[in-house]
Amino acid sequence: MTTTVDMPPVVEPHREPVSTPESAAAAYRQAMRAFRPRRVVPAAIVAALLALAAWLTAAEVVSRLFDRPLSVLPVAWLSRQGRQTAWNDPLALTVAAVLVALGLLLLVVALWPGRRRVVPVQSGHADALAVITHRALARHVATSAESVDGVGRARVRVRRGQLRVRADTPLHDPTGLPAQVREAVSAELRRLAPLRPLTVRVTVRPDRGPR
Amino acid sequence: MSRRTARGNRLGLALVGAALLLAGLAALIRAAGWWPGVFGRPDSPVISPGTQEFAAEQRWFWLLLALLLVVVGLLALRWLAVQTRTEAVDTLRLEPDPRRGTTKLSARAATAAFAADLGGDGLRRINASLRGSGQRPRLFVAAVLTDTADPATFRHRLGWALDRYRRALETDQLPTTFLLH
Repeated sequence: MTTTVDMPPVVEPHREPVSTPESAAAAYRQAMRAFRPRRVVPAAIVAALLALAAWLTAAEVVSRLFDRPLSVLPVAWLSRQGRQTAWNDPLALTVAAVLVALGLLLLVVALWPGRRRVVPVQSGHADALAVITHRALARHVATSAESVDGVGRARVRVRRGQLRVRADTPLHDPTGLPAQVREAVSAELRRLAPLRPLTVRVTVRPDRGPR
Repeated sequence: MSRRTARGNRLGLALVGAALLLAGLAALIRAAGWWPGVFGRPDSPVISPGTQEFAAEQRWFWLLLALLLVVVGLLALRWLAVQTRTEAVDTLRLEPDPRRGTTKLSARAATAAFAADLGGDGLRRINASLRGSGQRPRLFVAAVLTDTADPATFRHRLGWALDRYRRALETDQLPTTFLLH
């Protein structure tokens, strides 16, 4: 094995983080595309059922070609039904309606863009994408909200560019607390640097004793 | 899990959905008697005497059907199998021109070095892997920060580790996806 090294490795300067609005928008779109839902569960179900149905039918057909019916499928019953049922019979209509509904459902699952459970954030590097999952974001924000004096427990929900913080306090008079929580949450968000700003809603409720 | 699988899933679901929808619609149109010239009479049985005769006489039809079903079954099994595909790279080629010799590097060793570079305070868990092809790898990093870690510091460290890593791999381009979870 020969290894040729005729040039020293190129030392690149550290690139600046994504900062212009256009590149931030492009990075946002790219990250959202990369984390599009993958539809693994519906695909696996449909694939498994399709394989099963195709091979059972194939086995039945082949076995009948050799006059040794396997009878894994109720062929006699099905052909009797087929001969006795007209196209405009309620039974045929029901089967057709079920097919239409299933087909529409699968098409919707395939074409629906789906909800992403990630928020794109600044990556600190020109060709790196960074995202944080809604769960991790909620965890970080909750910790920062709970670090405020007078806040007992904070629950955070992230949905479509919205961050909802609900904090409990043992204090009887929580005046000023929402503003402090908001400030702590905003500081955490500045550190995380989401590519699109999130709207923050803070609710502080007095804790009604131990639960 | 790969992007190709995600695209394939959408395509597969759309194809199966369209097939079911078309079959159901055709049956409904026939039942409604909207277009008897094309679809036939609505009050005739689903399996007509003509169909029965055809099915009984044509052996090649059943052979073709069986063949088609086997192919469909194989395709469906493959579709099921690729759900776990990750496109992981196990060996990296460091020389772009194979005529000048090759240098191979274990991808696991390379990503372990990267993870070690990045690791430290504020990091609960990190997992780095190379995906795509050995010639044009992409780096995928998944990390869990501790609740009190400062993401800004971490971002800075990531940029630095990435630059170091690219120098080590002698590559100008290493598209990177970074997931905080």
